[in-house]
Amino acid sequence: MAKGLDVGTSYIVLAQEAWKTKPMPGLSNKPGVVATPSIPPVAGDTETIIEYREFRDAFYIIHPTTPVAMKMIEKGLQGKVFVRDKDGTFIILGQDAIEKAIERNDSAKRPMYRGVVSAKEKEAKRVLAFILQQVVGTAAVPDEKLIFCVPAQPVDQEDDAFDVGYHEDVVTAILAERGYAAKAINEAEAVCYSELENDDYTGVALSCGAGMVNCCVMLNGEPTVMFSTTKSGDWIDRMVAVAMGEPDSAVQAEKEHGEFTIGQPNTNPVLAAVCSYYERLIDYTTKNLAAAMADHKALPKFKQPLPVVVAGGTSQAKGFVDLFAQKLRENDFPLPVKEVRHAKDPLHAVARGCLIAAKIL
Amino acid sequence: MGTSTLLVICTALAGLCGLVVGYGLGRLDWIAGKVLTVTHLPKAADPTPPPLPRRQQSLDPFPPGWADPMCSVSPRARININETKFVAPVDTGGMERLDTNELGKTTVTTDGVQDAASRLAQLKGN
Repeated sequence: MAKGLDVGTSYIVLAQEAWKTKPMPGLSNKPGVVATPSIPPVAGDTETIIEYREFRDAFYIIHPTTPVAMKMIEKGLQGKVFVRDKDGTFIILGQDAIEKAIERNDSAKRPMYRGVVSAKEKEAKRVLAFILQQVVGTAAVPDEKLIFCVPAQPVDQEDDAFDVGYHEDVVTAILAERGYAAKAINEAEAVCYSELENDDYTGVALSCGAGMVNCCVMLNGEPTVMFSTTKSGDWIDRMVAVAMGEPDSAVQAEKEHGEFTIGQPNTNPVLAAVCSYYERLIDYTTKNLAAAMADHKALPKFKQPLPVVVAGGTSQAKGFVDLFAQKLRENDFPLPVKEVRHAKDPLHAVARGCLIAAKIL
Repeated sequence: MGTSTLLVICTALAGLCGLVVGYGLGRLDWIAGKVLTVTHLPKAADPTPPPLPRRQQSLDPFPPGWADPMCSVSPRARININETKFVAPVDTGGMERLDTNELGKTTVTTDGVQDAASRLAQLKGN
């Protein structure tokens, strides 16, 4: 058994194989019944499926001031995912945390910042550990293989201001406590494994998450160049929040649920600002990609044009891929490009790639 | 040759020996320097820098002159050091979940990963 885990700034996504029984003529078993994911079927008419469990990587803390308030708050949180901490505070988790923060005209907190455990939040490590333990559960067998993703070193930030080593060790330790033999791979490398099967695992993959954009150039299954840039979805939220005087969480909710197309005018002022910053983000990212690869010594000399695959939540905005392709051309991307395409399942591509890696590593 | 002549010769010889010994004693530091320099001359073509103090060695996983062939990727990511033993378990004690709601969202797809994994394993030579 193996599992893939996307430990993202905005979402934690677990991918695992499961089995679905097919309908048998003359028998009462119904189609679509998912077997226990940890136990492969011995025999029978089943088909393999992939089960994704995704959880919003956010939390919101409420401090009750009196015992009465504590009781009332606990009642008010019915229907939400929350925990009570040892000091009596309530920590609301996931999407509910964002909704509660918006209710209070505030912003939810994140256990992660720019792809790694947040140094800005005091409770970040404990909350991340709790969420990870809840999402992945306990290993089905001792030392069950699990591959999780980490970001690459950024090209637009000084080396000593960013390092994934500690984050990688913390996540590995959390997963080891649940019985997993966990290993890390790069986030964009995982997208390559998920999306480049029909291209002989040769091409370029980008994972546009909330905190960062990760890039991997792959040649026949071997990652040759990997790096990241530090502006992505959260940067858009922050800039729009500053421009509009709104909390980040409110901008994020508007961005995720509002109707807009990048490059087209919008009557909603918040969404108009979102479009504006999306264009700036794509321009910034493609310029950094071109500059980072221009004289890179490890870059192979590709003879054939390459596919460029874009994944991640930030890439889901309408018009993203088209504008990305246009900006790659305008900003002199140094590799020959066959096509720029969206991942088949942009939100789950990283977790799927981690699962594929877990099956062979 | 009389006794007096022998005495003069002996005195002259003693004086000469005294001069030599005195000169030698005066240049003793020079002679010692010469001898030590000759016996402890370092090898001319030895570029290895002196070893780090033991504590510093234990803190520095990358030897001098270590080069990252992939430039921007964190070197820690590709060096097989078991560092997790140094990270203490994260204490989530006292955090008690009070709800029974479903954690997040679960979706299911039918695009299996076995073919992709087999193809990748073939490419990687596993």
